[in-house]
Formats: sequence, structure tokens, C-alpha cells
Amino acid sequence: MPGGILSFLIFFPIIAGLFIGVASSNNFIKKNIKILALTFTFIEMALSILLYFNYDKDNGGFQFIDYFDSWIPFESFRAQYLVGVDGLSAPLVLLTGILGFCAIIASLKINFREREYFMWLLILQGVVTGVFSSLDMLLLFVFWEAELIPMYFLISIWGSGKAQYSAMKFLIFTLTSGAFLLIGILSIYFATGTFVMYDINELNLSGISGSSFEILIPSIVIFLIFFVGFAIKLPLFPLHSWLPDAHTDAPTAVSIMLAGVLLKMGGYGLLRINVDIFNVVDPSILINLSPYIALLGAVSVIYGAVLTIRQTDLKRLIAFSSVSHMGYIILGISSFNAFSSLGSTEGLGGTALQLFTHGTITGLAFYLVGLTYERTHTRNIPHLGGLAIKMPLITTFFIIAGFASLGLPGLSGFVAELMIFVGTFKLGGLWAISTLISVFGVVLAAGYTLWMIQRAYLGSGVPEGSPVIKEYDNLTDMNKIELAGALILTLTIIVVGVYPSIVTDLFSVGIGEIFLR
Amino acid sequence: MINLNEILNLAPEIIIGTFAFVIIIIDLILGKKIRSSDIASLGIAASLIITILMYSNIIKFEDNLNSSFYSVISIDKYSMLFKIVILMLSLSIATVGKELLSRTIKLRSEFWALFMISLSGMMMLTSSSEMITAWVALELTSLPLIGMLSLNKKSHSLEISFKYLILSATSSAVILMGISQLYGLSGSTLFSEIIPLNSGLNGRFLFEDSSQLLLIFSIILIISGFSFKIASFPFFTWVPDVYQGSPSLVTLYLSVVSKISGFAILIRFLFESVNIDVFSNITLFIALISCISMFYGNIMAIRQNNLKRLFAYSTIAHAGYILIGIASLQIDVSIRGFSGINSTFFYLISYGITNLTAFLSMISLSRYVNSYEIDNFKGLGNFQKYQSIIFSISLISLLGIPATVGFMGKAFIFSGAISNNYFWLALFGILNSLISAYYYMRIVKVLFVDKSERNFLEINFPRLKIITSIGAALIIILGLAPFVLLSIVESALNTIL
Repeated sequence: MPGGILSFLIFFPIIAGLFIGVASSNNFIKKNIKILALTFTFIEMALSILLYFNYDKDNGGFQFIDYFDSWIPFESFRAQYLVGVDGLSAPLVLLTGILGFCAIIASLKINFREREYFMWLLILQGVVTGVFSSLDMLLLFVFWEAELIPMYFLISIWGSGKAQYSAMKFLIFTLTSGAFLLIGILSIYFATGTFVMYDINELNLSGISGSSFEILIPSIVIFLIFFVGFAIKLPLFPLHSWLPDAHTDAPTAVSIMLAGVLLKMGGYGLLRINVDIFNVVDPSILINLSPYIALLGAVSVIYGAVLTIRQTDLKRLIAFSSVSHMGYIILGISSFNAFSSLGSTEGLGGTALQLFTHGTITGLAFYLVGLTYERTHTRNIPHLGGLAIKMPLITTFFIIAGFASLGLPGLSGFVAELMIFVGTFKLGGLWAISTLISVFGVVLAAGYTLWMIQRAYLGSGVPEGSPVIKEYDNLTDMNKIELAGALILTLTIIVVGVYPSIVTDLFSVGIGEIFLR
Repeated sequence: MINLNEILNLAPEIIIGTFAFVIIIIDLILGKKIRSSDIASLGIAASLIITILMYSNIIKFEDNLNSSFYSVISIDKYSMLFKIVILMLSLSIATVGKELLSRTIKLRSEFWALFMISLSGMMMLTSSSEMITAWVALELTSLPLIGMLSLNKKSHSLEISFKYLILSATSSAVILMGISQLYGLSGSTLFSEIIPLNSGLNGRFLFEDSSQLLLIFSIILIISGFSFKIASFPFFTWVPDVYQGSPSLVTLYLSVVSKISGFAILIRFLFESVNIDVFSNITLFIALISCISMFYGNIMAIRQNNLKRLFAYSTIAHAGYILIGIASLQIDVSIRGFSGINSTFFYLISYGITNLTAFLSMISLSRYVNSYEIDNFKGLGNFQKYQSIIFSISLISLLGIPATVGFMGKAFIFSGAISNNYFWLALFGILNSLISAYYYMRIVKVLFVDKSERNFLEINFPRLKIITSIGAALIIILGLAPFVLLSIVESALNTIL
């Protein structure tokens, strides 16, 4: 593949978005914004698929590197534009490409200030791709924070309910996470003298090396700073309170992006920096802390699941289930142990796979909730019922998403969770206890998913006194283009479930490199 | 003796000073036929061109570094770069003067004459390297401002200017006290002779035993005095009232230009006259006033409903951020270093651009609703889309979100603090940025998210639109590619390092 492809993936949506936003006087563009946005994101998705399958698994390492050295050329403060993907980030770039396209399909019904809407959505996609491909920590931070502005506007202008409150809450929480990251990044920089994360041999760039970070503050403090920063984004109990609000009030497409890729930024950051880079410096930090991290993950799983059961709003329910599912990621990360022969790759591999599969599963779930809400105008579960009669396709897809979410074998969620459980359980001690606790999360997941589907979609009809009762007879199923979006995500879920190596091959290259470093 | 060629080095200041009188004379002769603000912009532009030519060594006047003249005035790249920044910002102010100068000011030519005199004082301030010269220049900047504040024919304008007068006099007295103590200790008023670098405390001190404490005390007095100019703790109580009550152009001038010149002299004083042993003793004091300024400014700004008042508190907070850089001004070379002086310089320039853009946009937007109350701005973003977008860009830059120059400035400032072992100060600064997110984004929200409830006036500001567009473009360009500005800053700093 030609050079610059990754930079193109990052900046093409941003420029395309600005183009849509700025070209206001042109009538042709005004009328065809949705088609344009669909085309742009389709190109983006096609390119990210190409990039994914062109990644050379045998060589591994960082590929598709783009480099510009004098971004900030201060002698004592040097940062560069450096992007590239490895086995860990390539699948996440692919995920962003797929979900970006589905998010545009999910917003075809938007009629209010549509130019700005599609501008922000496209910019968001480019920026998130940037997060996953930055190899310079300052560049990563720039993309990390830049994602905030599109999200703020998307939630506050096109959201519903207490949209402005939720948008501000999202902003403050994400800024806090960014503040922690900035402090951590600068501390590492002044201890090691570089922002580059890894040695890049082709460019003679040396990354953060095996020296200690302990010039100004202890390494463990820097570790915790990063951990909190990423945990807010993930989100991990007890830092999760922004997520349900932001999800509930955001428009459908934004929920898809938020659950599908934005949360993954937290997990990706944990793997990249807390696991990978700190392993190079001082592996004992993570090893000493990991039993407690495992416990925290288990608490997050159960807490999230218990709260999910009692939700009555469809979107809020899926949002809380995300908290529960992100707990598995923390659990998987705790299984990393560079010294012990037991600390094998399953745990981390499962974590990485969970990032990917949760993105597609939750993306699909939010997509379907969005379609349902467009038709029924309520997401309140007690007001719904019997929707399967009127919308059989939506219900079928929802059942697939639900089964995947609760870890049914043959669907992608099962593989990821199984790998995490295997990886953590065999370490014994607190890890095993945490795993045993977390396994009940799967049972609870079966409970809330099936119960929700039963209440909202199955049954003979809408309950008495529901506002939907008047419209019930006119409810329609999904149309063809909506079907396309659902099919893309469902196919991904099934393919990864049946043939996991399509994704895990790349992940295991990336994870294997963490162990080698 | 001072010869003519040496005086010519002050050509930029002389041009500004001369134009102050030219404005008045032309007004006497021609009356209302010609606009004073345009003459002022002409003078500033002439001065700016000469400064740029001098900066790039195209014009070179004789410089005999041993003469008495050069010991009190240093015409180096540092001061010239500050002059260029100050002149550019003032040029923008004078250019939009025609559109923005409030109708309540009748004596327009006097206003611009005072403006020019104050401006010449600020330029002197950046290049003075002797304490008495610096003090005189400081007074030269403050006294015309008192006049400008009271030209407004509103009932409270006298109150405002009186408030400014009293606090200005107090702070000047505090500075003088510090200067005389330093003179008593060292026998010199030259920055370079107070505590010669590379020498111990004993240098030229008269009182060898008690000098350390007294020395630190007098430096603290001087910093406190300058805090009036830079709007930080302890002399910051005037800021909200004066900002709210004064004509918009004066607010703009106070917030953008006056502040930068204050920091310029403070940096030079701390850098040239204080050696590292003494400096390490006063950094804690600087860190403390920085924390108080940031915290007070940010907390108070949250509660404000008047935009001008909100911006007053925001400038106090920003003075606090810049003081973080000043606290790490001189570094122990043994630490892997990132000197605060680079970062402070960068931040000052970026803040000047951002603040000018924000203020101009705010003033022009306020004219559409004839008010500065935030609630009246609801939905203005859809009516005046272009100006509102520029305003939002500058607000986001003030908040310090990446892709804007404000983020780069803040990142450099915090880096300076962390690399100089002021980890807690950087942490405090970053947490304060978080607080500021609330009130900056609240304005953006009011502009774009809220629905409009009223009719807006139809006015056009062609000149302001051009200047703010340039400002917004600079914010983005320098935010994405800071190396353009960094190389300039580094070369300028080499002259005083």
C-alpha cells in the first residue's frame, strides 16, 4: 500500500467534514449532504479494511508509518508527528472505519442543522482514528482532547432529555481524564527525554527506554496517574457516572461512536501505556498492583450488571451494560505478568478482542435502539411490548446482539470473555476469586438482556395505557439501507465468533510484542 | 555623552510619542474631518515597520555598549520582539477603533493621544534595564490610562478611574520601596549590577549580614507592585470593576497590551538582576501568588453573568498560569532542563493573540444585543455565525484544548514547571484549567445550543471581521504548527540568556 495511507485515514474525514461544514452556499452539496457523508465514510471504511488486510503479520511491528520530525522542535521539548499501526491498533482502526459508516447510516433521519451535524460526526471519526494510530505521546494527547469538541456539540445540540447537562458532564470528565494524561505524559517525557513510545528502527528513532521514570516522582505514582486517566474514559467503577447520562441523551449515531470506539480509547491506552510501556520500565509495578486491579474489574462487572437489571430506559440499560463489559477489560489487563510462566497471552488477547467485539456488539445494540426509538418515540421499557410482530427484522438483529453480549458460543462476545477468564483464573489467588465473581456477570447479563428483549419486543402487544398504543398499528420494520448497516455489524459479530483468528491473529502479534519488549 | 545615533535606537518610541501630539494638533486644525484613530494606526504602523526593520538588522544604528545610555536601555532582540507584539496588538486596537469606540466618549482625539502616550511608556518598559527607568516608564503607562478611563461620560467612570488611580499609586509606591531597598543593599539601580550573576551574595552589598532576608523581601515587594500591571494577586481587586465599567477599547487595551508589557519587564528584572541562589528562594512566593490568582480567578468566573466581568476574572486566572512559567524561569542546569522562560514567552504571545481575538469578538457580538449579560447572547451563534465561530475558537484556545495555540502554550508552561520540580504547581494549574472549562464552554453553549429569544440589531464591523479572522487563523495555525513561532522566540531569547 502507498505511504501516507494512515495519515489519509486520519485527515480525510476531518477535511471532508470541514468541507461539508464550510460549503454552505453550494446548493448541490446542501441537498446531498447525507449522500456525501455516506460516500466519504464508505471510502474511509473501505480503506481501513484494505489497511487491515495489508498489515504484514509475519513481520509484525509498526507499519504504515508516517513521520514529520519538526512538529515541535524545541531542543528540550521535542515532539513529532509520528503515526503507525501495529497488531494492537490495526483492528481498532478497522473498527472505527466500520462504525463510522454505520453511524452515518443511523443518522439519515437527522433534519435539524444537518450540515453541522455531519461535519462534527466526520471530524470525530478522523480524530479517533488519530488516537489509535499516534506513536508520539503528545500527538496522542492532542487527538485525545480534540475528540471532545465534536462530542460536546453533538450531544448538546442534537441530544434529547437533559442533553446540555450530560454534555457538560461528559466534557468535564473527559477533560479530567486528559489532565491526568497530560501530567503523566510530561512526567515521562522529562524523565526519558522523548515522547516517542517505541523504538522505530527504520527511522532510527529511539523510544521510551528501560530507564526508570523516577527522576521527579516515583514511577508508581505516574502509573496510577495514567491508570486513573484511562479508567475515567473506560469507564471503570467508581468513575463511570458520566457514561449513562451521555449515552442516554446523545443521538443514536453518537451513542454508537461513544460506546463503539470512544470507550475503547481508554482500554487501548491502558494496554499501550500502563501495560506495555511500564512493562519496559518496571514490570513489578503492574504485577504488584494487578490483584487489586482484578478485584476492581470484578466489582465493576457486577456493579454494572446489577444496575443494568433495574434500568427501564433502553439506552440507559445498554449504557450500564457497557460499564459491566468494560470491567472484563480491567480484569484481563490484571492477568499480565511478565515474570510468571502463568502470565500468558490469553488474558491480554481476550482484552484486546473484547475491545473489538464490544465495539461491534454495543454499536449494533445502540443502532437498533435508535431505529426502535425513531418509530415508537419512547425508550421506556414498560411502555413497549410486542414489537416483534411489527418489526421482526429489528427484533431478530436485537436478539443476535443480545446473545452476543451475554456470550453465546458462536458469537464474538463468547471468545473474548472466555479468553479473559482462562487468562486470569489460572493465576490463582485474588485473580481466581475475581474471575469467579466476574463469571456471575455473564449470568446477570443473560438476565438483563433476555428480560429486556422479552419485555420490549416479545409478547402480544403494547401494554394498556402506553403512549405507543395509538401508533402501534403503523409501526414499520427497517428499510433496506438500515438493513445494510445492521448486516455489516451482525456479519462482523458472527464471523469473529465463528472464526476468531481473523481478528486474533493480528491481536496476538501485537500482544506478543508486549511480552517480548 | 549620548549622541544622536544612540537616540535613534529609540525611534519606535519617539514616533509613537510624536504622533500623540500630531493627533491633537491635527484635531485642532482639521476638526472632525479626519479620524484620530486612523492617524493613530498610521503612527503605530510606522513604528512597527521601523521595529521590524531593526529586528531583522536591515536598519542598524550605532550601538556603543559602554555608554551610559545602553546601561539603562537595552535595545536587544528580546525587547524588540516584545515591542513588535505590543505594536501589532495596539495596531489591531487602533484599526478597529473607528468601529468600536463607544459613543459616550466625546473627546476622541484626546483619547487616542493618551493611548499613544501610554503605548510609548509600555514600549520603554520592555527595553528598560534599570530600575528607575522602569519605574518612570511604568508611570508613563499608568497615568494616561487614568485619563482614558475618565473620558467616558458615564456616572461611574470617575469612580472607576479613581479606583485605578489609587491602586496604581499604591503599587507604584510599593515598587519604589523595593527599588530603594535594593539600592541600599547593592549601591546600584542597574539590573545587571544588583546581584551579578555567577557571584555570591557578597558582591557589592553594603550590609553583608542581613542582606539575604532584606534582599528577598525587596524583590517580593517589587513583584507585588508589578502584580498591579499583570492583574495577579495581591493587587487584582481593581480588575473586575474597571473591566466592567470602562469603555470596551480600554478594557481591551488593559487586558491585552498592558499585561504583556508588565510581564516583559518582570521577566527581564527577574532574569537579569536575580541570580539563581536568590531566585530559588522567591520561587515559592511566585508559586503561591500564581496559585491564588488561578484559583480565585477561575472560581469567581464561574458565578459571573456579565461577560466583561467573566473575562476580567479569566485574565486574573491567566496571569496565574503565566506566573507558573515565571516560577520556573531560572533552572538548575543539572536537571534535564526546560526553562520556563521559553514557555512563558510563547504563552505570552499566544495569550495576546487569543485574548485579542476573544475580546474583539465579544465586543462586536455584544453590540448586536446591546448588552454584556450572557443570557442575552442566546442563539446569537445562528444569527452571527462567522463571528460566533471565531469567538468560540478563541474561547477553546483560552481553555487550552489541542489544535489551538492556547493548548501549546499551556503544555509548555506545565512542562517548564514539571521539569523544574514544581510537579504540584503543574497539577494545580491543570486542575484549574478544568474549572475554566465550565465557564468557557458555557459561553459556547449559549451561543450555539440555546434557542434565541429576541431580535438582534443589524450592524456591520468590516475591519473587526478581518482582524479577528487573522487572529483565529493564527490560533489554529500556531496550534497545529507551533514551530513557526518557536524558532522566533528562541532566537530572541538568545540575546538575554
